[in-house]
Amino acid sequence: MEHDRVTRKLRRRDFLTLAGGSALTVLAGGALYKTLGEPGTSLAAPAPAPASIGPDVQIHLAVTDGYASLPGRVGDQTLYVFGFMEVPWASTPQDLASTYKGNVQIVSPIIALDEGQEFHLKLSNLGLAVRPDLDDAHTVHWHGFPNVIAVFDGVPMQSFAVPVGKSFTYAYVTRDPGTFIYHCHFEDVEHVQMLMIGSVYVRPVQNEGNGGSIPKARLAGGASSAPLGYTYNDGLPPTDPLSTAYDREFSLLLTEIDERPHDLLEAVQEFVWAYYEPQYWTINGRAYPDTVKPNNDPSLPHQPISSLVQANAGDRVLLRLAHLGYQQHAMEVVGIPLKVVGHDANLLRGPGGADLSYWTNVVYVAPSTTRDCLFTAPAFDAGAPVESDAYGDYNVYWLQNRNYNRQTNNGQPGLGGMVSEVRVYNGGLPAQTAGHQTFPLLSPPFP
Amino acid sequence: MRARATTIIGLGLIFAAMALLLIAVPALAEPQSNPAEARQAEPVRAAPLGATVSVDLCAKAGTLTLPDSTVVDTWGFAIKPASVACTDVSVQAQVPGPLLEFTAGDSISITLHNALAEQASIVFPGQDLMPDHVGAAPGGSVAYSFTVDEPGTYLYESGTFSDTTAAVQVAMGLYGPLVVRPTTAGQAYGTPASAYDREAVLVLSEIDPDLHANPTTFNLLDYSPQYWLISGKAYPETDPILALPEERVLLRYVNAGLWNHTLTVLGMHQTVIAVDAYVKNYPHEAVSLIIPSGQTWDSIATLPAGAPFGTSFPLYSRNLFLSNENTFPGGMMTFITYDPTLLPYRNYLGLGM
Amino acid sequence: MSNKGRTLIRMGLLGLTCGIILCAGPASARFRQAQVTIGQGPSSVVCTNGPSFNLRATDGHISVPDGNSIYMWTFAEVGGPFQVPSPVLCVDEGATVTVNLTNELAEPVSIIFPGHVGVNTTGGTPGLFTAEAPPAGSVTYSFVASEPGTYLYESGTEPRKQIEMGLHGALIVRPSLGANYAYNDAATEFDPGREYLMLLHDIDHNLHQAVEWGEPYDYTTTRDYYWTINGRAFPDTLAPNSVAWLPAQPYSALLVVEPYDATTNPLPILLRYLNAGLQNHPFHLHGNYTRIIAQDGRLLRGSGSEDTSYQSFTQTIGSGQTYDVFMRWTDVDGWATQSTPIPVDIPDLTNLFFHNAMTTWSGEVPLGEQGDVPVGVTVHNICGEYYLIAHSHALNEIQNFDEGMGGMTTFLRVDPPGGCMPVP
Ligand SMILES: [Cu+2]
Ligand SMILES: [Cu+2]
Ligand SMILES: [Cu+2]
Repeated sequence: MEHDRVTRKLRRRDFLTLAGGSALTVLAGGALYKTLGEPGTSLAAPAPAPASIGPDVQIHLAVTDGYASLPGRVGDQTLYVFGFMEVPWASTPQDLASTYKGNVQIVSPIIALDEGQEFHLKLSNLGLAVRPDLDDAHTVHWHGFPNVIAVFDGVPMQSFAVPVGKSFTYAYVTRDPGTFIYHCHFEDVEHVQMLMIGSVYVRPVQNEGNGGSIPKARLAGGASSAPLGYTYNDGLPPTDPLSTAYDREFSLLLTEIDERPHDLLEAVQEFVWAYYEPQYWTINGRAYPDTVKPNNDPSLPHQPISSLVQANAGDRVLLRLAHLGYQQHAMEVVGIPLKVVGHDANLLRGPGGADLSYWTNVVYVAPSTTRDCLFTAPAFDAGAPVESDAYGDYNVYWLQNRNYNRQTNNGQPGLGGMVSEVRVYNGGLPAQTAGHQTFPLLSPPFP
Repeated sequence: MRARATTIIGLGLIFAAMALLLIAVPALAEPQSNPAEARQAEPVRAAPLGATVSVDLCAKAGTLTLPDSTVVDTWGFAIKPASVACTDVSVQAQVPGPLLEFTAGDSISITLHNALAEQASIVFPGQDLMPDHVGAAPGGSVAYSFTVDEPGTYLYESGTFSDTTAAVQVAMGLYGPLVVRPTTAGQAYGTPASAYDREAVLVLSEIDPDLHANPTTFNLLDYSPQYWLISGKAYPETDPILALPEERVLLRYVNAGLWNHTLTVLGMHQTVIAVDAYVKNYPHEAVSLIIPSGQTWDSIATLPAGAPFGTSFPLYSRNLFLSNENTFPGGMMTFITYDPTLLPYRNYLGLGM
Repeated sequence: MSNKGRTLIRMGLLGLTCGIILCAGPASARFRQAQVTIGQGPSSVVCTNGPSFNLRATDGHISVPDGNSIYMWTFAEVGGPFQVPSPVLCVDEGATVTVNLTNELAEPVSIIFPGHVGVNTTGGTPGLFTAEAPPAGSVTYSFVASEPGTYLYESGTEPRKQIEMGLHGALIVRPSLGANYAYNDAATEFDPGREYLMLLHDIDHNLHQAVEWGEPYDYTTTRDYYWTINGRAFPDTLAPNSVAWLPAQPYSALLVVEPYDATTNPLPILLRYLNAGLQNHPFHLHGNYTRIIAQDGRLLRGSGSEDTSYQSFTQTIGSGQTYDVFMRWTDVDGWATQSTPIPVDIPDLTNLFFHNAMTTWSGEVPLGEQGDVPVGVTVHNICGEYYLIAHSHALNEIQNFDEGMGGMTTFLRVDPPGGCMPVP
């Protein structure tokens, strides 16, 4: 290990100590457990982790197969998938197989990093429970990572891949804040469709504040009055109209699913990708109505990442939209305009400072792009249709793909697909203490 | 603020105004169109600025005839005259729905009368009101009140989806364009950069006849359009856009289709000034525009100087949906045509605003 | 569900194709051994200089890496060979461009010049979009190339059919500021040896076969099976310009960059994206962001000349659009050098998977070093260069019909500073 690059990195030990370091890093999936605590201890802050030496963040992802649930699927609704799941750092593929093999989560864990970290991502290939004959290797490709070198880019032809039973550790220095994605690049048309996909984002150093007009973000231990975070290093106080500060943060990873390659792979056959024609459209691997269930909902044991957006009226909300399907989608929140402040991990600002951010009702999301969208939750309207839960009354705004032909689950009657809700509460919703929290806070079902 | 309007002005007058508005853009299509006649159509502003404008709309079944004489069943919006029931044969569903045209600052009261056999509603993306996804039961009505503060090009559409059928109401035709004009005549957004001489509203959509034949049982996975429309018409029935050299033509694209579309203009660039009625900080020039489903784009195309009489500049789907079923030419195509019969009146369609 | 069978292979052509490509070695895994020729020759844009051009609309076949050949139409130079895509027409800003088109096809053809104003036509017959050359006839187009930039030229006659058949090409207008600038702006200077054409296209070979055989084709059931960059599908995209085994597909799509250095290598490479296809393509370049400086031949500048260029890691090239983008690759972490080792261990290589037929990793981490890879792995590196992939991220488009990977894919080669010299 090399530890002498400290001077080339932006070290942020104070933040890591306060916020829990790598424990905060994986926001959903296995690590939601660590981050959010046991049921009933809902708002407890995560225990501080010791300041690390060497890499700032280490995450170990295991690759294996499993089943996801899709409304509209015939039979038991399950679909054969591949994916990444978070596992303890020090374990070997052999240690992990008995617990994790065949038990994967989709979509893959949300990885939240901070600018200036050295991030080590260990990939272990556990093999497949259902297709032990299929000894596919896997990789991690951090999609969009700037100035990457070949051995860390995860493209098998251009370096190597990780065979069954083996591990490899990728390393990155997070120099650029923004919303990225990651996926396997081994036979990628197949493995990406098999749902080896996840969101990864880098939070800006501005979360530390500037000691003046830009308060330290709550994610960095700031006061309760401070924003949860900033999307980019915009250099602006939260009150500035061009500020990228937010109170709540959600990560919405879009994809479509064509069940045929999944079924064929399970049945030891191959699919001709020119015939790709999906039947399901998902956000974070869930199709409506599953989208609106909270994180770690017990009814979706292998799809722990919710697609529900909850906010109190007046909250500033960041949607990190990302897309790893193959079609182009027109996403909107009906009734709430969105301000797009980032494209592909870049603040929308010209080289000379020109403000290129824009308001829109519909956000065009093409495969492998990411869009950072802000909105302010509208005033609660008691005169409009109201629903209620443990956090009080709320209004519902539909978050949907405007390509209405995609609002279906396998052609079944009724609403489905890439549809979710933005629920605007009348002040009763607890504050987020980490990104992508949904309420109630639930613990993950496994391992 | 969500103003609830109470003042209602004469419905008959509004209907007359709307009817004139409706012909405003198609009027461009008439080569014999006389600017003087068009100017007579000016009293579209029936009410003073900032007034309350009431519109009664029907949602009802209708038909659409395509250039190859194929007739498809539709659900569409129509203006409801006072004292006439939506079910009356004189009330014809339109695809797209009538152009709703207002002036910034107006208080709008729209009542939807549902003459369909299922629940229906209207949502107004970009307007300041809570979206309605419930709407009115068959035979019932629902009212929407809001203030149009921001000029621009908007979409209105059904907000209803059913637990028992697919999300087909918009595909069936329940969509239309909504234009809010600034108080300054001849400008799209009350800015010099948005000044124009002519305008055209281009509502993009598709038709899959199978969906129209079986809306309650249609499987959305089978959606496979056979016709591609601009403002409810496929080429060669699309309306040409008539203008003179050096005139600025405001193209108000409204993608009401289920698909995303890419549109091209030949012979000039178009300058994109707004998307979803949000003025761009930095307008940019382009030949081909990706217009996603549900989005509106405003661009200004300036006809080149010195073009000979009769020059036509194609405006068409660059995804090349240029057939009606399998017959070329057809589809999502029209022409901006230098029509020498036009007198160089500036912005005659928008005068009096 | 469209389920068109593959009926394209015809024995005569297959035999010819085989003679050139397939039979050079055993087809290994998903790659044809002999076909993988990476770089080792010029891959930057090849201009056919104007301002007067004599083009003929003609037909021929291209080769795709799964062994098929596809019937295409193109605008070839009079006196020159059939080629796909049509020649890259290069002219200087302000020049009067004249294109004389003669028609060797059996139906009328024409050329439109999107983004250009005042195209005059001489001769021919009236058509829907512009004057057309009837079969065996001709037509002349002329216009002033008044604005620099990257443009498509393409058929204006039954475009749904003719553009897909291949009647399209790129037109580059060089600014008066100089040929090493993309526009008349000092900030648009690029490395003049590193200017790349990225002309995207999508193909339903069933249309091409129907046209060739005079059979009907139903446009409403179209589906693409091949996707090309500069008329080639991966891995043919990697071969240099004008290789003998791709006689009708002269344009490489290999991108080459050297590490940025403020003194020795300050200039970006320029990619000229054009989408002649019918679909929008989300094109993703590994390695770094690209900076989008222009769309459809117009520099991105505000009315007060504010720089409104922007960066992306995937640029969606809409149908009919062009984008000019700058790209750099910088060794920010120093990990490409000997002096700063990567902070993790590379395992014994026997514990890693290698693509036997086609590995483009030198076996060493630092740039410019050649190492060893396990026996049996064919390595294409010669100077310790890096390769980073670039492809449509609609991943169904990186196929050659039923074989992957292929399609709309190419590589970015990162050469050691000073260029790629074979390591002894
Ligand atoms: Cu994989
Ligand atoms: Cu990717
Ligand atoms: Cu890739």
